[in-house]
Amino acid sequence: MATKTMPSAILAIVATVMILDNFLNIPVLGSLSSEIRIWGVIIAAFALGLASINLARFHVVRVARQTTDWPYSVACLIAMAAFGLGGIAAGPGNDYYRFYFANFFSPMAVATMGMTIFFIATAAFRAVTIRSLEAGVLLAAALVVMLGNIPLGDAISPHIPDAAEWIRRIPNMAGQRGILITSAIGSIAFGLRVLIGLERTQFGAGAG
Amino acid sequence: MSFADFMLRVQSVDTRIIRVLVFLAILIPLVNPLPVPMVVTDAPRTLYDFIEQLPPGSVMLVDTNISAAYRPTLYGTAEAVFSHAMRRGLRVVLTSFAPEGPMFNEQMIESVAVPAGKVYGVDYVHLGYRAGGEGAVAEVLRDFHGAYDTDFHGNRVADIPIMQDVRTARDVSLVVIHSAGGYAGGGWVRQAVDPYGLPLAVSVTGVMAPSHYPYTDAGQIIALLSDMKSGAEYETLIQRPGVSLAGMGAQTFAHILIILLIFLSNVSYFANRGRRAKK
Amino acid sequence: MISESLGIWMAGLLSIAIFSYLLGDNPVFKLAEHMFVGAGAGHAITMGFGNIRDVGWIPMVRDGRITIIVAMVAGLLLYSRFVRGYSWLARWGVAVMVGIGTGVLLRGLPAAQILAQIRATMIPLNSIDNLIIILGTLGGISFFMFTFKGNAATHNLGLLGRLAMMVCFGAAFGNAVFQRTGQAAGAIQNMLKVFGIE
Repeated sequence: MATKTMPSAILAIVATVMILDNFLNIPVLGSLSSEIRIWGVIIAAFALGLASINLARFHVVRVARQTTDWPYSVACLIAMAAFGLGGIAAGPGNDYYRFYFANFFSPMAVATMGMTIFFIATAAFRAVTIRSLEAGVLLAAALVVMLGNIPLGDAISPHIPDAAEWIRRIPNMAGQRGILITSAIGSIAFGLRVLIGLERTQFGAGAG
Repeated sequence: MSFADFMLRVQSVDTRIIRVLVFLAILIPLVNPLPVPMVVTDAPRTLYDFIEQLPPGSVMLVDTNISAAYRPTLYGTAEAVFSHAMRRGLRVVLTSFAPEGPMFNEQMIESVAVPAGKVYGVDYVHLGYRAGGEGAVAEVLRDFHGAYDTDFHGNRVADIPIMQDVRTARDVSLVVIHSAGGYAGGGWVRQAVDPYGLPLAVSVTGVMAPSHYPYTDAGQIIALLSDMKSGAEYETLIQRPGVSLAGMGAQTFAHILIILLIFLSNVSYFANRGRRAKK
Repeated sequence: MISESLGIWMAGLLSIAIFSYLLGDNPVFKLAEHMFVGAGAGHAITMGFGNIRDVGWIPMVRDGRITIIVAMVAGLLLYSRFVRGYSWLARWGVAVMVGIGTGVLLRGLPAAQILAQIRATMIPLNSIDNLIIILGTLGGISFFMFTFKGNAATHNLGLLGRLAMMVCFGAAFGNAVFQRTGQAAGAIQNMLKVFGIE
């Protein structure tokens, strides 16, 4: 009961309080709903450390067993300790912390994401072809949007930026609206399943 | 050698050559900046006009949901809008619901508010990060003081002058979010626009922008700013060149190259289509 | 002129280290990648700790808000997944988080994402644009309806929806090229600053 039914019951009670608070103007319900949301902030803050702890475990084991690439794991753990312990001790507003965030972490994040343009270019050269009507429509839309995004498009013809904006505002918007409505319906259906306990995948393996 | 064979050989060129070409296409305009004429589109102008018509002293709530990887695409817009708000005398409440967001709030304060002589706690305040996603957003809008006991620097929120007038969402005149992911515009529409009727302007990455157009069309978002381009346009509007304008020249050459690569790919595909059909 | 700033050199060299992957996997990239992942995890710990302290610990200890102990215990129980035999305790904390998320979502979705969008689609059929909007929206909805067998009309509407979605993906691809180019330009700018080129 404690392992399966109680968590589902807690989830249902919490979600019901949140939903009822939206429709009923009862002060006690409002206070309870507010308190639960504050709990959510605290629990989510604890959850932030989960991935980090998992990562630390993985790399500590790699260093302990001296398996392949273990020296890199040492570097990973040192960086984690520096930012984690340093941030806790000095605070993220500290000048040194902000300096290393801006000049150590941030540039690597930008470079990691920026690298993908090279892979996009390679894929564009090898695989982006008009193999079907749908692919043709996709590519046509992509090309117009790409030209509309740069000043060259306007230099070629002032209609290109207008066409790009039309594509975004009309057919793209229509398709996205269809996706939005159906995903909302699907989310409501899934949410109701979670609420009544039919769906327990959020509790991990063995909870079903 | 037939044309089809030639195109096949062209397509089999070493991947590293393509990467070098892309690198050069981005590098050269950065070293020799091109003058890029910016045509300001509707969305940045709508937000600009909205801020212009707000009376000085109005409160603008900013959610800096920027991850470090998206600094080039979103930070320029965030800085430009913050600069405009400071110039107009708006009181800005900076928040973040992403762990890396507060670091960019601090960068904006350093580059915009401090040089402008704005007073912390009076003209602007940085409340910091709250975990919990959309639930945290809902709670902050319901009760700022309940969700934030202290600001990013540890000051009691109850003692901060600007926060004496900001208690709930009803005290806010405009919400501007800069988002690289997560609940983004949809979440703020659900928690701020629908329940409180707050005007919401959204600045998102290029990939996320198309999915926000339904909200704009339904009037739930007043202005949808997309990526560095909107940032460059906003910098043009406020006549404050920044990081977004600087990156626009590189965009042109890279786009031309990728369009050319797509063109060559399709030429090769159609040239060899008959051969594939025979097989 | 070569920069003398430590920060600029750090940013430039680390950007080069990450970009070196484009020439093939190598030790310099691996080192940078591992440090990047570690730093990100460390930052998450810093921000999480700040919230636990400011939203949980201080109000509980200073202001006597005893109810917060429920959240503190539930949060700590999340870590029971690392203790063999006691990982089921983590479900209690997960239950609260998912419950909040579900409740907040369910109360906001119908009005904001369904009714408002349907209302915005109720437009007069007096222009090509409006026709495209209505057909594209209906087509998109038809495409995702799997719970009943449709007829030829819904099937054809679904095909129209597919075309509308191809436009969506094309627009997203076009914008993705723009976004990633901007990020690459940002990284290359970090490298150029080392040589004094802003």
